[in-house]
Amino acid sequence: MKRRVLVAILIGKLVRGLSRLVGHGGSALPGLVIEKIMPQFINEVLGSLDDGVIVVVGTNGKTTTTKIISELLTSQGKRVLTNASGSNFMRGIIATIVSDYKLKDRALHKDIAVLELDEAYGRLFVERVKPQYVVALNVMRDQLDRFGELAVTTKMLASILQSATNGCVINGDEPELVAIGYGLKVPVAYYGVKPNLRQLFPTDAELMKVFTATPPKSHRTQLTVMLNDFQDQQVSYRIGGHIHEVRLKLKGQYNFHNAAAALTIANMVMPKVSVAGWLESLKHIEPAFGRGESIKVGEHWLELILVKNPSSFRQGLASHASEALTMIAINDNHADGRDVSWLWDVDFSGYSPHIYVASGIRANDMALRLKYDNIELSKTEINLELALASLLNASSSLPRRVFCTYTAMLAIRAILKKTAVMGPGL
Amino acid sequence: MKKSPLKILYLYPDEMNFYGDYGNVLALVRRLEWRGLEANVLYHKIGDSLPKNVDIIVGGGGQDTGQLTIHADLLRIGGGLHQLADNNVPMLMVCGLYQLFGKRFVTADNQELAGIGIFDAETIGIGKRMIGNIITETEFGELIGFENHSGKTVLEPSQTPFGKVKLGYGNDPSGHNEGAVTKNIYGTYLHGALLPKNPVLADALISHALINRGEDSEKLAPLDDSLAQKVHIDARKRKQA
Repeated sequence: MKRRVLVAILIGKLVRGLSRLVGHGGSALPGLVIEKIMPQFINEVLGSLDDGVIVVVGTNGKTTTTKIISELLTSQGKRVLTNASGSNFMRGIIATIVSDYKLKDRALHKDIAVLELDEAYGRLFVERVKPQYVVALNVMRDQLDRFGELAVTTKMLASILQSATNGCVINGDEPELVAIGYGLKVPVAYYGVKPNLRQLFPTDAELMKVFTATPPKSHRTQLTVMLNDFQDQQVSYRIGGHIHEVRLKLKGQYNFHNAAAALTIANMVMPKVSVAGWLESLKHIEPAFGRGESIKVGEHWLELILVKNPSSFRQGLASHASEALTMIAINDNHADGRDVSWLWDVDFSGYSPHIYVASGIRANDMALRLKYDNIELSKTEINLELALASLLNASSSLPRRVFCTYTAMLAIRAILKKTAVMGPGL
Repeated sequence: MKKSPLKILYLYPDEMNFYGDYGNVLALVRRLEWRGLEANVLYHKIGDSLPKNVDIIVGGGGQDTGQLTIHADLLRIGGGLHQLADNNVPMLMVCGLYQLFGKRFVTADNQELAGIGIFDAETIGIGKRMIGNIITETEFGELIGFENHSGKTVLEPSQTPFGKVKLGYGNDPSGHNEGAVTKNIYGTYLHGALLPKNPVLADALISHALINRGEDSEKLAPLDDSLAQKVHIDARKRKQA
């Protein structure tokens, strides 16, 4: 590694140490400093990886898919650099490099990077670092207050896909992405779901055609990995003409879908590994941070489910339908999207578990939404800490479930941590 | 005698339903149901003939591509919509359809679309996107919502605006006027679930419809809208962006 890179890492580690010393956890600060003093840092480090860079893009499922890809590759001996905490911006990646770098060996000890990037940052990223592989999951309406229109998002995804030097993996059920895929010069592998499951995984356009009963069109692309069927956490995939059964720790239909994407790219990067080998590793992979993870809080299990747009909220409601005392926490900070109109694109009438409390900055908006679906709500409490306490203290033996937007999820985790109910790993 | 259900017509549900606009239809349906009145929701899709007998018409926003897709069909039914407008049928047109209810719309990439000219207004696509929370003052009091558009709408002197902007942009970046109102037709950039958040406007549309039917709207039973009032209080605390 070049000397100036080493100097930057040293400075980064120093900044990180100092910021921790004064009590800031601050993972962004080292990245901020290094970007200032050495803008080409990230190109140099990532460019030196033997197996290159995989970029994961799309509206929903980036964090879980990135986690699954990283763990699959790790299970086959690859040393993976990843931005695991969902900090999908440049500074987060730099901070990860700084913390992973071993000073005593003067080496990063990494073979490949698996990075989740949002569309806007992804486009800037690929101008600086050409990824070997790009995985594109879906295009859904999300944070339109940032990008304006879906067509803009699609254009950004196209330029990211076009930057891949070795290959791309694309959701074969997303017509907009498939159209981009047909024009790519590198090999493209598609993943998707069995035609009879298509209605459970609507595209954005299908999601909004709430009034048309026409069944979604089936893919015409050849799928490398197809989600074939699932019952609870028992999942089957069709890979290479064979059906493979596997029992997963991941929960929720959308995570089984994400796993199909991960299997496809893993197979593209390491084609010699057997399907059985990949599935054996997949079995042990746990849900990502706040993406359907279960936490033991006192005597109750609490499920945390991130919702950020109509598609992820609908998928979340459909995937987590077992009896549970439920809280919904809606914030409208920048990272959540300032516009809460999207709540009106979610149909709550089919969700049968008892929604106990609405919380977050826009708790009253959420309560109003439920009112118009004629759904009983026991409480509305803007303050997340109070709402969470009332959810946990309610006299019910049911498991607890929280659907929350991004910043609400971060706040809830911090509250749980503060009250020392979460294990040391959290 | 049982009264016939109120007919609510939703224009272009597949193309013009981008930011939770369906919430407006839902609000009308529920507020009728909660009062023991029946609603019948009809959908106008491309190629359909426009029903002659409807009580309320609602239209939403879309992306530029949605506007292009429905444009020819809208011009085709424009005459029928004018007739319904002259019969005082109440209409709520949000964002994309508000723009096309004006005389013309020039998109950001200079495509010119003729509007149906119910509003004496025209809209020009500009580089700036006007995005954020918005609060306006109207004949129905304060309205809250969210706007997200790059069209700048200019009203002719004869055209009455719907509201005055208290927070946000409205018709153009200067942030003065918002929307347009002609007869019982309201055009606005406040998208998504405008009516549940602003029940006074929802009830005004219902009242207009009942008056047209010769039914006594004075008897529109009050509903508990305390939750919508709380949503207003929260909205006033939020910054524009």
